[in-house]
Amino acid sequence: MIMDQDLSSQKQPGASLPALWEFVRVADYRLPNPVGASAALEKWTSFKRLFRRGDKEEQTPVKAEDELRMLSDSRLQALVRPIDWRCAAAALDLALADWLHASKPERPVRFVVGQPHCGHPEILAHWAARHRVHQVVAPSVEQILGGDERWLEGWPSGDRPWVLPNLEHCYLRHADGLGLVRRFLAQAVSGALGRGVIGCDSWAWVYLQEVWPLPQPDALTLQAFDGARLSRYLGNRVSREKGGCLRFCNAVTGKEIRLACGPDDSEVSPEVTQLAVHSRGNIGVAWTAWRALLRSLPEQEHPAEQTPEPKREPSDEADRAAQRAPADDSAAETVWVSASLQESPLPAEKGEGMAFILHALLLHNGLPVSVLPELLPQPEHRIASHLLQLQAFGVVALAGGRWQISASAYAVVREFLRRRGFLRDEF
Amino acid sequence: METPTLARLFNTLDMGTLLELLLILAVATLLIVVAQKLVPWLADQLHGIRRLYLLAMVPLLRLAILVAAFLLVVPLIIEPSFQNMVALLGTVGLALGFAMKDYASSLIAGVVVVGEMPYRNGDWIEINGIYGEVKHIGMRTVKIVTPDDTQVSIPHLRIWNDPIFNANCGLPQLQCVADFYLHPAHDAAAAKLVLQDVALTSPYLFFDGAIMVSVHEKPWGTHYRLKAYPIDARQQFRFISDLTVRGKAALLRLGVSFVTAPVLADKQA
Repeated sequence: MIMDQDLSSQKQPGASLPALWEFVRVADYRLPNPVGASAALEKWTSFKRLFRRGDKEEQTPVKAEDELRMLSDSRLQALVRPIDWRCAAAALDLALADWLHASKPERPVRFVVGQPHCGHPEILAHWAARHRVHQVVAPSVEQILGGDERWLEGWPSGDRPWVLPNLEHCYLRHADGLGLVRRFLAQAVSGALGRGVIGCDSWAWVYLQEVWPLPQPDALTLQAFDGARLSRYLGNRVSREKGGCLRFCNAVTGKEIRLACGPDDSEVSPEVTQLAVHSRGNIGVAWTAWRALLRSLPEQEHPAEQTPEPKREPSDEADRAAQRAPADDSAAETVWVSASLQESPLPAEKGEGMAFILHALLLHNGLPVSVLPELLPQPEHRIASHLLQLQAFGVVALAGGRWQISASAYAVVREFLRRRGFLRDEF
Repeated sequence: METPTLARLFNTLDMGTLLELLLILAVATLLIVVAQKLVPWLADQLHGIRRLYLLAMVPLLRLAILVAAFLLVVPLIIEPSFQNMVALLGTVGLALGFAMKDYASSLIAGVVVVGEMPYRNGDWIEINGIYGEVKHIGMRTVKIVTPDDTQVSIPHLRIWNDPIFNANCGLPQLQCVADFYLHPAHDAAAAKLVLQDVALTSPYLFFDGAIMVSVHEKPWGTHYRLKAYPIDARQQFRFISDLTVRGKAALLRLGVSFVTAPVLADKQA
C-alpha cells in the first residue's frame, strides 16, 4: 500500500527531478511562490483590478507589440497542443496503486480533487479505462432535486471498483439539491457502495465540506505546476516538435525565454515563473494563458502553417532527454511572447447578480442555463442577460450544454470573488 | 484699561498674517474635503473589512487636520501666554456653556465618538428606534441612511444617555433573522433541517458565520427563527428576503402549513 507520506516525494527512477505529473494530498499542494519582480508584478496587476472600468483601454496592446500577430490555430496546435491527461492518469495510478491492490483498504473510497480546467474528469476517465472499472454517471437535475434514490439503487455491485468522475454534478445549491449527495456520501464513505474513486472539483469540494463534512485528509490533488514544472512541461514538447530550432523571446525585452530548464531550477525564466504564479499552479489555466501570449511576425506566418506530424505526449524520460540536448540557436525560428498576460476582463458592471452567477458556475463546475434560475434570486431574463454579457467578454463559455468559467478568465474571476468574501477553493 | 488688555491678548494682524491664516484655513478645508471624498471612494473599491477600515479613518483624519490647523492658527491670532489662554478659554467656555450647550456637547461627543467608536462609517446602528447604515460621522452629527433610503442626522450627544445598538460593530457581517410562523401540527425536526438547508444554499451566505434555527412553541403555532450571516452587511434585507422566499417554498413542499392572521387574532382574543 502506498503511504501518504510517499506521495509528495515520488521521483523518476534515476533522476533528480520530481515527476512532472504528481498527485499529492490536498494539504501538500504548494502554490508557486512569486519572487522578486514576479511578486511585484502580480501585486500591481491585482491592485489595478480594483480600479478597472470597462477595460477597453487595457485590452489595447502596447505599441511595441503592434507589429506582432496572434498565431494561427494550426500554429498554436503545433506549439501548444492540448494537454494529454493520460500522463496525469498514470501518476494517479501510481498514487492509488497500493490502495487499489489492497485486499482491505483503510478507506473504501478515495477522493481526487481537481481545480477547474485541471482535467480531473478526464484523468479519472483515463484511469477507469486503464483498469476497466465502471464509470458512474452523475444523476440528472430532476433526480437531484427529487432526491431520487434509484440513482443509488442502481449502483454497480460486485468487487470491482467504480469511478465517479464528477461529484460536483451530483448536487445543486438548492434547498432540495443536497439530500441525494448527502445520502450518497454517507453510503460511499461507510463502504456500502464498495470501493471507488470519486473525482470532485475543488470549489464543490469546499462547499460540500459545509454540506457533509468529509473526513478525508488523504484526498489527492494534482501538484501545482510551479515555474520549474511549467518550464519543463512547455519546453519538452517544443524541443521535440522543432528539434531545438525554436526560440521563445520576450516581445518587449527581446530576451530569450528558456523553457527546458537545466538541473538547477533557479534558472527558470521569470516569464514562466510569472505565468505559474498567475495560474496558481493550475496547468489548464497556464496552458491557455501561454497560448494567448504567443506571437509571430507577419512574415513568419507562412512557415508556421505547416501541420506538424502527430506525436505522443512527451514522457518524463523524454523530458530529461530534451534537457540534455544542446540547442542550435543559429537556425532557430523565433516565437515572440507577449509581455502582458491577456486575461478576459470582467464587464464594468460587476454587480451582485453577476458575482452570484460566477460563483454558482464555479461551485458546480458549470451549469445548464435552465438550472440557474432555480439557484439564484434573480429572474431568468436577468441571468440570461448577464450570461450573454459575460460570454461577450470571454468570461464564460458554453461547453456540453453547461455554462462554465473559461480558463482565460478563471484567475480574474477567482480574485474577483475572493475580494468580495465568497467561499472559494483551497488552491 | 480694558482696551489695552484686549489689545495685548490678540496679535496685530498684518496682511502677511492674514494671508497665512487664510492659507491654513484653505488648506485644512481642502484636505478635509479631499479626505471625505477620496477615502470613501477608495473604500467603495474594496470589500469586507478593508472597506470598513478605510471608512472609519475619515473622521479620524478630519479630526487630525482640524487639530493641526487649530495649533497653527492660534499662535497667529493671540499671544500664546498662560494668561491669554486662560482668558480666551474662559470666554469661549462661558459662551458655549450658556448659549450653545447642546452644540458644544455634540462637538465634544463627536470627538469621543472618534476615540471610543461606538459607531463607525459603514456600521449598521439603531439609535432611538432609528435603524440604518452610518454614512457620515460629522463634527456634530452622525448621518445614517435607513432601509427606506431616508437620511437621518442624529447629534452625537445621544451617546451620553441613549443606548447605541451596533449590529456589525466594524465587521462586514451581521446576523440576519428570517421568521417563519407555522401551524403547530408538523414535523419540527424536518422543518428545522429544511430551514438550515435554505440558509446553506442562499448565494448571500457568509460561510464563516454559524447558521442557527431556533424553534419557539406559541399558543397559536410554532415560531421559527432562521439566523445566518450574509457576505456583506449591505445585503441584509435582500438576504432576509431570499431566506423568506425560498424558506416558504421549501416548507410548502414539505407539506407544512403557515398560520394566518385570523388564527393569530382568534388566539389573542
